[in-house]
Amino acid sequence: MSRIGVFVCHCGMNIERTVDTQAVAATLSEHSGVVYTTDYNYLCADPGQRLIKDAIVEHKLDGVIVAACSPTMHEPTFRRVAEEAGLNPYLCEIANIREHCSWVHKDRDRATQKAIRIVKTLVEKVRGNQPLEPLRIDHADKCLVIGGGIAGIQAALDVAESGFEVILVEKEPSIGGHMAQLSETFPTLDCSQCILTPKMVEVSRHPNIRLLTYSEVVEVSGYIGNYEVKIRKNPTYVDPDKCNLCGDCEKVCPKSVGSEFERGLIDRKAIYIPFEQAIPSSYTLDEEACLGLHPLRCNECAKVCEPNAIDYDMRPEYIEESVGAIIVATGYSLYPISSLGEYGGGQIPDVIDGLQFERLLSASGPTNGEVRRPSDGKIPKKVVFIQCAGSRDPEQHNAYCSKICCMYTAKHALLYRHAVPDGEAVVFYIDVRAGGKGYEEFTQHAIEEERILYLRGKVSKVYRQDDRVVVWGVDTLSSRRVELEADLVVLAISMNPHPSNLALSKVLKISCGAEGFFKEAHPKLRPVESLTAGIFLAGAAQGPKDIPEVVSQGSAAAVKAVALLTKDKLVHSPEVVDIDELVCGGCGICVDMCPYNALAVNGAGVAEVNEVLCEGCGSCVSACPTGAAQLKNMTDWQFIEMIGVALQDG
Amino acid sequence: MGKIKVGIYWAASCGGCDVSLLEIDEQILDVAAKADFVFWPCATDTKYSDLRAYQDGSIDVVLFNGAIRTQENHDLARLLRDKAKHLVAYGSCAQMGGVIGLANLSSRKEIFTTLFGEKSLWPQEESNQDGYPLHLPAFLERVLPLVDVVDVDYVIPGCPPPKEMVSKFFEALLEGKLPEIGAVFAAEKNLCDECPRERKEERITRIVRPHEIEPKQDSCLLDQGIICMGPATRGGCGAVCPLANMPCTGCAGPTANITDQGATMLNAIASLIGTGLEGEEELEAEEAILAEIDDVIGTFYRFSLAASIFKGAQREQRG
Amino acid sequence: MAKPNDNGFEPKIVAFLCRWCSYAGADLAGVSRMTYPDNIIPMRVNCSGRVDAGMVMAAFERGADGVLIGGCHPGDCHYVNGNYKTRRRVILLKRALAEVGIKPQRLHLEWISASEGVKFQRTVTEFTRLIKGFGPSPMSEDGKN
Repeated sequence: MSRIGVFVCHCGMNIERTVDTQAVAATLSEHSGVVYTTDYNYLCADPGQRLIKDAIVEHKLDGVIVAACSPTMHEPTFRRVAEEAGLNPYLCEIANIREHCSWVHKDRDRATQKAIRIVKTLVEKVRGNQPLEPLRIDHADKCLVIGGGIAGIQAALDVAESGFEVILVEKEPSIGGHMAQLSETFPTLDCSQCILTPKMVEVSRHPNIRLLTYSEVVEVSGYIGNYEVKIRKNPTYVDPDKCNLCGDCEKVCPKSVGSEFERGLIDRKAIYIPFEQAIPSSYTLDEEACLGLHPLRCNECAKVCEPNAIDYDMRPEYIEESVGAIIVATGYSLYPISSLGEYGGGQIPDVIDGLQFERLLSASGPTNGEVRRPSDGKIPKKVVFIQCAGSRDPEQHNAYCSKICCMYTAKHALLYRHAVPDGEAVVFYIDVRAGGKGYEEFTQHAIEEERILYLRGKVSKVYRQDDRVVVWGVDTLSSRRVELEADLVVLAISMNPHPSNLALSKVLKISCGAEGFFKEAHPKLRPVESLTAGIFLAGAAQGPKDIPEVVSQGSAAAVKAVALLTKDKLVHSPEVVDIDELVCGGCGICVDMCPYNALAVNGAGVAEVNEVLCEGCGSCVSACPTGAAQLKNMTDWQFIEMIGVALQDG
Repeated sequence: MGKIKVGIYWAASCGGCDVSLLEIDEQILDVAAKADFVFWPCATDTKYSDLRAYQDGSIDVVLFNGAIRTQENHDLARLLRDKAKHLVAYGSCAQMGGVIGLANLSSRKEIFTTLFGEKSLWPQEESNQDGYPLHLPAFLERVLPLVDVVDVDYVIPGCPPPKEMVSKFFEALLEGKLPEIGAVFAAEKNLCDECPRERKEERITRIVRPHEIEPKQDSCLLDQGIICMGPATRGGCGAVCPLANMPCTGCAGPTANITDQGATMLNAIASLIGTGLEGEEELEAEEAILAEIDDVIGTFYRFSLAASIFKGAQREQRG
Repeated sequence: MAKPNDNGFEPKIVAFLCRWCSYAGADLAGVSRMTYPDNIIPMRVNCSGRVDAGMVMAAFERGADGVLIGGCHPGDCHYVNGNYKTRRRVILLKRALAEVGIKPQRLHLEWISASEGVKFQRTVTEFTRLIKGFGPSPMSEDGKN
């Protein structure tokens, strides 16, 4: 590049006061390749922009430096100006002589010298720049939502309402997720099912939503805007169109297993519907529990099924779809109660987890909303709630806080007191974390007005004595040992990542954090985006959170997906990595370095860039041992020249 | 047309380069038939005076091996440049200073003190032996690659240059098809391109030296924790060292896009090591892995220190 | 103000600043009109993970007396984990510098976020003072020969 123009802005007095802009322009006019320099009062104002445009045309400039404020301010402005004058915008660079020079120095001579060095580095950069065109790519206009809990439901509905087709994949026989299991929700005590089921029904009826339950995503390839996904629909052995929910099959089925929905408090049959309001509303035959999918082996259900809905010959069905965006909303699981041996988890029947207690409180639960303990069905008169069970314990269990347990424990204790007015509720807590609208008020209400005893301290041991459960703990506020005999102990168990996360992270090529939740692109600024462009995260799949947060994330992820799908073409910065095929030997070190999976060694043994995925960080460039990988317009050679002029004497 | 005139000179080197010329097997007969060795101190009786007597540019090609360590090496490089039509940096030492270049980590004074002890015992450039003046060539402060003294036309890299490269050179020479000036008689790509070991693209979780483990035959040595310079080294040798279960040590120098071979490999290794997780809390583990590299310069700059950006030790701080 | 290291030597310092955090932190220092020594020539990189040993060495070769790398705080890297890669590179590079006899402190890595104008100012001020105390880099002196 040999016809470079340098425009030095006074920015009123902002630059001029400490930097002699005329001297900068004059010195730069001596610099090799620079054919035009000028200084001007306000380059960003209209006349200033016109001045640049005219100079580009008149002097046939093939590179432009605007020495002014930070590129964060006006890089887009001046690049647009360059483009309007017929110059490729990537041949325009900004030298920051205001924030990084005139505003921070006092000595005018020295600041001027520094400004000259800064401008020279940018001249060298432009000299090595190539004209680039933004990448424009076509995309599919469907969205895949993985997980049919409240996060996935919200995301699916929002995307569908925006006019795009959604494929909602749920692993279980029904959508609804954990929210369907809850009795009432804090802090307003709405009935969970009452607010959830209308949304479930809306999903099933929405013309833009294709619901695939009992299904799993098994393969994903492609990139943002163009993902090819393969979904396996597992056989339910019941034709949902024929099933009329009469329930005859369930009555005759001879095989019982613990009900997942009721968290093992009661049994279900091998052929079952998870809960009454399940969507799709159809029975499912659990092939693992079934005595044998062979008419000669049992056949009881098929015999009684009047509509002939049962089909033992059903096979897994594979569905392939092209989608532009993917929303991952796989939710959470609970930390296994049996891992909490110190609290008698998995050994003492009357030590239960929070979700089990939800079922005991639920009007549709196994006890019709009467709180009866699992061992003998008695109504417990004294219930001990233990918070942080498996959370905030880096030595033994999960290091993180599960966030929702403080609130749901307060709710549990309160609902218990409502259900058993003469019952006594005791809560062991480390801290009460009640950040959220109405949350603190809710817990205070529970503590003060519902006469729930909050003891600050950890429980050291829980054991069974006759038909009671003894809880040893400490009240750290009064420094007293506490020993309580309870009828029931409810553990506010830590939220765990969904067990499918790890496998799914491999299928989607997105990463999980050390604790197993999906990793967001940026913890503050990009919380619903994964590191892979076009894959978004919603809900507890990304980390513990409560329903309002989950719903917000579902909507947020939906907006991100819709923003992508609405575009005619996807535009991507062309300042991406480029591989010199003549030099690359295919060692694959760059492949490891890329946080976006944008690189792969191809069949010819050369690294290949998927430019659409590349974000231009340059991690691969600094790791490449052959110099084959270079960022466009930020090559090693450009930097060497820039460093050279930055340090040049005189 | 007369025979092709070839000169061979041995500067600061071990002598392996001269021997490696013979590795071309029966091709040597073709060479002998078509070429005359007009200057080869190691094999023929030729004197510097003979060399000075040749007309400038009269030797078709000079293969110069060894680094520039002494004033004599320096002067001969100049002289041979004048006499040669094409000057070839032959082997790692001529190309980059080679292993000899590692001497640049010590000053001349330190080297002499180590070797000769007291200053009175140090070799003198001018002395008198039995009444005759004796001149010894000066020992330069630093080892230099050939290119730092004179222009070099071609490079045949390697320690010593492997048969394939030498043979390729003689073939081109005998057929009168020498390539453009600046050509390197090796591959354009790195060693990984021709290495049959499979890289699983794993993080290096520990660093071991070759004798500490029995490396698996088919998997990448880096994956197994052995620092192999292959990624930062030109191929063309057929990956002989990795094939023999030994890591590449980088003797062929970097690829054309790279100026500093050691810096490049240092980048790659620092990028690759890790626990498999990236995070703040991995720092200690990462430091522990990096601490397993005994000798950073000796590892990454075994052959290229004299040609590197550092060139050798800087005199800011010692000890 | 006392200038303990004012030996008349004005060092040249190259700063590689990642555009999302440290470069923006330097912008903030400017917007807040903080003053700091003018010895530093900033250079914008997308990510501190882009800064490699070759760039640092090139800076020393061309006469830098110190090199500063500014990146996002752990966990905040705009490109996920580029800063950790540079952290490892700097550890090894400092050892290489020490082995060839250059004070490893002449290379400094600092996490400076976009909101840390004050930290940028302090880092540059302290680093410049340190380098002033060291005197010229041996490589820059070589350059003058």
